[in-house]
Amino acid sequence: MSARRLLGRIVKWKDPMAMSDNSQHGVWNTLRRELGRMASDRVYLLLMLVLPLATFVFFITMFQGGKPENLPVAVYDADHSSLSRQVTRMIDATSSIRITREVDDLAQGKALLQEKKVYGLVVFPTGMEKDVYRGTAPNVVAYYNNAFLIPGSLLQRDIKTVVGTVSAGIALSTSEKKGSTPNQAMAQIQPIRLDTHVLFNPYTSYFYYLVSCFLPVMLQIFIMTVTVYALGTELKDGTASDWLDSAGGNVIKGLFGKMLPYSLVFLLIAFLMVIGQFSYFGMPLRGSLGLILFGTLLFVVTYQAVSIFFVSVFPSLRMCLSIASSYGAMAFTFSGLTFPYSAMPLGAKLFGMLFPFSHFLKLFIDQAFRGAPLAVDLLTIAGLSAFLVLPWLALHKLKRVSYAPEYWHRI
Amino acid sequence: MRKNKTGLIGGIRSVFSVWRQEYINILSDFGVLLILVIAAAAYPLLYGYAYSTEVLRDAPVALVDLDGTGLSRQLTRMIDATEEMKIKEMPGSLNEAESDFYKGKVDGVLLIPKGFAANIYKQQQATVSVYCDASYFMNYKQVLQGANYAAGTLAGQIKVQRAMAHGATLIQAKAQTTPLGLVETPLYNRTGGYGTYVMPAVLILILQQTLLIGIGMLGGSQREQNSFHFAILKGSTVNSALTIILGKAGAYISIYLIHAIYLFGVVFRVFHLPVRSSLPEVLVFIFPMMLAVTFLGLTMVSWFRKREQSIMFLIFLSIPILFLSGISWPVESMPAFWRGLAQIIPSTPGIEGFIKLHQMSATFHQVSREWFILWVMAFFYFGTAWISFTGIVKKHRRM
Repeated sequence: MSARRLLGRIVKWKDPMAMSDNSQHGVWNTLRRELGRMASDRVYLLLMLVLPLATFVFFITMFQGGKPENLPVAVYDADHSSLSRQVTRMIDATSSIRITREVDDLAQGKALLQEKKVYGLVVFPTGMEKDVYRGTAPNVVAYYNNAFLIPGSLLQRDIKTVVGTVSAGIALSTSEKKGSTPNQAMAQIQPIRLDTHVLFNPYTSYFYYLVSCFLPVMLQIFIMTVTVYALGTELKDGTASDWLDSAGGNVIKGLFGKMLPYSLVFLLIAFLMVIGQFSYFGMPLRGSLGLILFGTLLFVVTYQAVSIFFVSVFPSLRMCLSIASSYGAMAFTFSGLTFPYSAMPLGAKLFGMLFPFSHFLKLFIDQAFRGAPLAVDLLTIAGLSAFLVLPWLALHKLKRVSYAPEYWHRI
Repeated sequence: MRKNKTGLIGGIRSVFSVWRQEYINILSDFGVLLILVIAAAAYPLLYGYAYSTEVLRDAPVALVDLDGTGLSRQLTRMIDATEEMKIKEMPGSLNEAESDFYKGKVDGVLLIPKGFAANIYKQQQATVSVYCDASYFMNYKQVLQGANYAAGTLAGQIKVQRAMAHGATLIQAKAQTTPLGLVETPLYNRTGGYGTYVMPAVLILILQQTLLIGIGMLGGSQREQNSFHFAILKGSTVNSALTIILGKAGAYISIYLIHAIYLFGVVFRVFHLPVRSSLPEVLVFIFPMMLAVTFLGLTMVSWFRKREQSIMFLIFLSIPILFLSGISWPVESMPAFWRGLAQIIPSTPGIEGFIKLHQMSATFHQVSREWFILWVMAFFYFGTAWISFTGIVKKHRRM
């Protein structure tokens, strides 16, 4: 801590002109000061525009296909019959699978699976076709790599559909030969039909599912990083008192003036993110766009609020960045999207409520995909808004550390 | 001390001196300690806990029984008995069920329409409707699977009863309605557990990211304070960039070997994650990844002028890097550009090889390609770290 700076502050403090000049010291003054700081540090351009947009492009291009297609699968055909060839062709024709290999024994197939050259192995046993017509109901065996859950479940679904269709086709033609009408035959083969309604994402597209989640996940990390950095450097560089002085010592005005430019830039990006998903990428919008935009506004502001709280509680830039970014990196896991809350242990579920992102994601899914009634999301909005209380709890401490040289220049 | 510490002995001595000094630097800097030691140890526990239940069991569903017959009640019991779901609400109409769904009480809705039993007895096809919520994929999958299972079980019973009433044997009965069956064998993660799926990749990622951030943070603050410990190398003719790199690397890798033993030996067992290779084998596999990550981290030190920059620019990358590893979105479906970019990141072959070796019971020979790539990365990043530190040392000598 340099003696000169301390002296400078004392001089300023004792200067009666500076005191009487308070009329000029307010939100606008702080805002002007902040714009200068933003312009002089390249970090802001990178973390507020370049990198957020780059990560958006990353996730959008990554999941653009919507669904993995033509995943490599091997076949071990010990039957060499027209039936086994027919099933092979049908499996190959599904969207998720491409038959890339034919193996001569199980060991070869197993090695391909272990080397991840294929995600699945379909086995047709010897005498399969004969057994079908002899009526001994043979089985096709499907192995699939479930260490990779998305390919695993796509393979499982498509192979099951193909084998089920082939089997039903054979049964149908047999009973029609015996003189049943097609309807009777169908009722014989499948007495109960499952009438499946896939709600809210009828094409089960991973694009909507993952993009709508990962863009805000990335954005909240950037909002917190920038906010903590903007406030924390004031402490690190010992300029915190200068900042508060610019607002006439009023910490509320100081925060408002300081945060405003960041709020505006991030709001712009967040609105672009939300509206772009609906207008450009055709994401379903079944509920209220107004509510989603209001939630987006809250999303940006609550993450700034949480960051202000963190800086006040951990008034050292590096420490606070570590904590804020660890918190940001965990938001996805505890949002309950891929691993739902109904499956999590209670402690993890409650922990999840401590992330504004969890509330925002629920609101977004409810309003964009599900078209939920507004009333059910009032509680979600309330949950999101609750985080706005945090900085008020910390105002006093923030003012104290900003004027306390012992908190400056901490590494 | 002799004026010129020439020769190998002097060089080795300086390396150990840097090594020891680096331990002191880590221990005396709480921020670095938090990342390199505490985060790397605590993160896995937090994630492990969140995923400890592995699968969604007994997803709450609403069942609307408009039929109200013995058969519909039998189906209701079967639905309730599945592992996938549990009937939480029995509303009188679909509208009520919908409102239960929006209120978050249930994850899916099943409906048995009026005339369900009558259709069965008339030997006509009966239907059961299932409404599953594809905005949460796991809920969707469980509800659909459970509904399929329950309806299939009841249908199977009906089919067998009918066939046996006509004097058929059990196998004949099955062959009449399902002439070609399917046996599904999910490998390496039998129950489709989420923790089993994601934890191996996340643990490797945590090793890489904390190490990169920690190295960058230490390097950044040493540069910021101009306190690179070059003093000990004054007058030395040893290539001091090399000395610093080796000494620092020794310190980091020794700490991360302990982390690796903790993660693969302890964390996997605590959360009952499948272990399908021996600890020494995994350590041998992961060692070149640690070298590659360490040297990559040391290369990046020249980019970070301030201590906070490494965390600001590396944390957000963790999430894209996890996707680049191919654990979630299959490599085969990635755009070529991202696939190419993934090839410069140590965690890409690291995660792929580790999952094959440790989860898919591949032999070491079967992951030799990934192991080789990791060694190539280790040597490459060693070169870049050397270049980077030569620059830093020159700059500091001039000052």
